[in-house]
Amino acid sequence: MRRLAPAALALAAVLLSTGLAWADTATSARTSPSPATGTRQASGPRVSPTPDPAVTALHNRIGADLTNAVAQQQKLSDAVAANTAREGQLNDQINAAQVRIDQLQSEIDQLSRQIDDTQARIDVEKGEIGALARALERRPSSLPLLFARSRNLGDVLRTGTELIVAGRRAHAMQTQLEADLARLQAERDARQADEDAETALQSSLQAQLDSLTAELSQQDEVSSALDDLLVQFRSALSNEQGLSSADLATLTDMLEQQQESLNLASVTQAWSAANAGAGRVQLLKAGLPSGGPTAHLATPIGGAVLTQPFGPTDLWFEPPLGQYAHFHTGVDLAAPDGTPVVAAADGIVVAVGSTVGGYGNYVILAHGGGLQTLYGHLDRSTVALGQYVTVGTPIGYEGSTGFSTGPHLHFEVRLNEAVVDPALYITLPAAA
Amino acid sequence: MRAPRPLWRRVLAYVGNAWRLVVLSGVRSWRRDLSATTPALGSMTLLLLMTGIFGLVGVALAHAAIDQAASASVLEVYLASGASSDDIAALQARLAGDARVASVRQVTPEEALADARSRPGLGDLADLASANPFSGALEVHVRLVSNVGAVAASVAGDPAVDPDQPTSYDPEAYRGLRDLVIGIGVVGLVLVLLLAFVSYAVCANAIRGLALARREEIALVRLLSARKWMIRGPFVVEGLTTGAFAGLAAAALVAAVWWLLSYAGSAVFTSVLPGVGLRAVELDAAALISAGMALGAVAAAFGVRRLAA
Repeated sequence: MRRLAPAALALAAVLLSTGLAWADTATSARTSPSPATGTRQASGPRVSPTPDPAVTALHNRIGADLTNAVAQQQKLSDAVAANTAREGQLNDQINAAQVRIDQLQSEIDQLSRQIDDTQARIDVEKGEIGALARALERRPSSLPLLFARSRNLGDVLRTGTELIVAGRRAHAMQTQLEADLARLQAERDARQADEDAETALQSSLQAQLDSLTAELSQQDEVSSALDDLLVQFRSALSNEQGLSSADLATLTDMLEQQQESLNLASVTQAWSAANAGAGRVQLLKAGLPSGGPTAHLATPIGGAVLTQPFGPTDLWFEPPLGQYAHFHTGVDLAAPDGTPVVAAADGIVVAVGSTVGGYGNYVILAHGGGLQTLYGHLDRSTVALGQYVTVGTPIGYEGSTGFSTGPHLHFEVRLNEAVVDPALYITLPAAA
Repeated sequence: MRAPRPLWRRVLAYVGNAWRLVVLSGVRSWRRDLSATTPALGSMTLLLLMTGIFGLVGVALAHAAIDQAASASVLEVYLASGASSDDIAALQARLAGDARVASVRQVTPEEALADARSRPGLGDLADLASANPFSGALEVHVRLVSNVGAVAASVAGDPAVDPDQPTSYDPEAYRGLRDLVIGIGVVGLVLVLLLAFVSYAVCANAIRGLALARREEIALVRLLSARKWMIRGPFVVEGLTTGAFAGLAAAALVAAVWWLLSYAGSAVFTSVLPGVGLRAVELDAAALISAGMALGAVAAAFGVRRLAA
């Protein structure tokens, strides 16, 4: 997203060097580009008193729209940067809250097991105490009567000893039971405290997710605005048949950067939505599939050929990753248009969405253990957020939405939010 | 010749002299001779303690014997914990139809629990169980005591009856109790008599020794025309005071023993001294103090009889 600003500056430099005047009045981001009529009004001081005729002609044809678009682009760039930062913070908070919730849930589970154990022990002790009380109740109620049943002095001694032993045992059981009951109460109190803390944390998490959703919505609006802007640039470019090759190269470069930024924004938006979705799934206690990363995933589309592998690329529209200027973060699998796309493994749908550029219509599944898979450029999706899917379940149909040059599936795998090579998980089809 | 003094003046002088010469002098002597009378105080305390304890045991045995005699024709038929109401009703009907049985009453588990609460510690123990642990019983009144055993045998094996402990029937219980009463009574009586003799001897000798030590004083008083009771009186008061303190100490010890035995009863969930309450202990203490005073006074009176003469 932040790459929009250099693009704007580059264009500004071109325009300034050729003496174009800047219009400081920004129009709406969704303003449609006007046809190049050469009658656009520009306000503000002129920077260069001797404009190049070719650039002047360019200004005359696309001046006002382009000026407004560049100003708007700067504002949108700032908004996108702010949104991205805010999303990052919220995602961090959500992740921390989820970690704490997992800890609390673990403590609650452990306390529940302890409570079950203590309760089972108490039940046994209560049964034993009941039997002992029954036996004591049926014994003679007084010492003289008890001794009267003795046949001789030995019996008296034996009876006395038994009396003391039984009494001590009963009192020991009584003490043990009372201690267990106290322990049970303490454990229940601790569990209640944990549950209260978890509830509070979930409320907080819910608020954060709502906030993130709002941010994503805002991001979506910004992305739409950027898309409109892109249309404006394309319109301007298509109208510039008389531009010099240098100006065309400048504009093309700027448009490529614009598209790349838009793609990156789309990617960010999609994975932010996935994070929010995962949080919601966790909140709903649906639970992600247990276990670690799946060793092997099913091929998500049948009869496809590999059209672009995972890894660094020279394609200008791919986003940067690490030290690479352009990196293809998944694999592109092309099959006849409309081929069903299926889940690569059991999982839960954590994001279903659509971006103007980038992935287009996409679905993200979480498989547990931090493993997530993305299916992009779908014609349409057939699953809903929070839905549990098993391996092979159709989740949509292949299409060419988003930034795509033809029908194909963009299949991407992420482990703990880091991009990984899908070839580690699926058997890739042959290259086209 | 002077006219005789009024009677009231003479009575007042007599009482005043008696109070001063007998009571106050006796108390002063007791305080002065405390070290000499301590053995007598100890032996009397021991005697009275034993007597007091045997008294409480006697009350308990008598209570138990009365209770046992009263329930000689009563048979408790313990019900099995899982007995159905139909089985219980059938057993109750069968017993009620038995010609040897006068009446049958069902003791419900709730009544059994209430009864258990009267026994030391058992109510608290029963409260800790998950539910009422008592299954109840049938209280069977048999017309003839001689038939109790036969009726008890007739319920054995019934599905409503607890197989482990069917009834409360114990043919030897009453005889055992009677033997216990006799045994403890004989032993107690012998011990008390022995201790009474020892106490009397120790107390009398102690007082006699004190009197001998003061024989010159006694001779001088006698020369002053003192009467015998004036000479013996202070020693009797001294013995009475010693006996009173011995009785007090014994009463305190008996009360402590009773409290300890009550505590022990809670520990073994059985009443150690049935029928012995605080009232009985108070009466026992009063009797001990009285007996101590009497024993001290008698021992002193007899101890100084010859010297006074």
